[in-house]
Amino acid sequence: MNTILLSDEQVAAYLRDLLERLSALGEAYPRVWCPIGPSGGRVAQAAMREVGRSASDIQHVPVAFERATGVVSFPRDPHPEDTVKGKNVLLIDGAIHSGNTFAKVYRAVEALGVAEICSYSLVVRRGATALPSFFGLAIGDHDRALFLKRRFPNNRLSNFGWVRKLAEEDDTRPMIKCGEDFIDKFSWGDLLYEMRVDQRRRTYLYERKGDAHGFVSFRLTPGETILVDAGCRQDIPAAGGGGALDALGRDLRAQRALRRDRAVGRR
Amino acid sequence: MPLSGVELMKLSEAELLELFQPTKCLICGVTLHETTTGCRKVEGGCECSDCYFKTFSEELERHPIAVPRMHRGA
Repeated sequence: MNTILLSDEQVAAYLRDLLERLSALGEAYPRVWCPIGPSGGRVAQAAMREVGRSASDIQHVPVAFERATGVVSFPRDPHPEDTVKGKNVLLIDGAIHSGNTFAKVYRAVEALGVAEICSYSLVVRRGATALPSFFGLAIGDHDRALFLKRRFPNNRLSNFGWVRKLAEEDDTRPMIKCGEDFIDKFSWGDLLYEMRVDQRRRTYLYERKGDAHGFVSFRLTPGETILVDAGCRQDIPAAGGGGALDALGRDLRAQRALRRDRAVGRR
Repeated sequence: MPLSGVELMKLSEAELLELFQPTKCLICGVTLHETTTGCRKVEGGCECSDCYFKTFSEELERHPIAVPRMHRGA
């Protein structure tokens, strides 16, 4: 996973290019913009700073997308068709990940009777199912791009302790007991043996103050999907961050794209 | 009513966020964003990754992941 950082100046440079390309459209220049979600709003804000005095000529109809329900709405305007009907519209987003939100918003705006839609996203993930007419940066499926933010999030494992790969010297360490027969019958030696005979097998343990408090054992497929075979933790009230599995789960996510739907979990 | 570009520029970060009625974490209420907080669909809404893994961790403690497999000497 790579993290790509875009400075405000780099974002502005992409936007200046976009504005030039829109200006080249002449009469077709979209004077109604529909920023999609907060990240689209931030990009539209940055674009307005580049537009300068002509910003007052552009109308913005913000578009919201409720992720849980998949509903598209226009929070500023109960009748957005009054503003957009028959006009050329620019859909503007910060990042397109799956393409799902973009596709739903595109169809919803199209249904309002607009003349033409052009679209822009500062960042597009390569595996996205929908692509805008203009975009700035293409990133890999497991990459993330950070831009126009006051702070960048660090990866976090847990407040205390550390996560490490199981090593030979752990063979003599007392095994964690979690009360689950399937797991309690393992020894560290079993897990070490499996790592030795299967190069794609990994076991990581969470250790604090010299004691093991949790582990996760998994296999990486050639496609780098993680198949979790076993995992348990012992609760550590003072550790914070939800304990060892929290730490282990984050550690895995930081290294690979954890395909949770392939993990054997219950929820 | 649509916003003019000038009005949009004047919005503070908090005002901009609220304008879009962003999805919030069902548990802690933080505004969800894919790249920063994570946004994980669960029954009834979405959760941030912090809450999601915390719940997942507690769930795992109750039901440890374990699938039968070959063991040494088997």
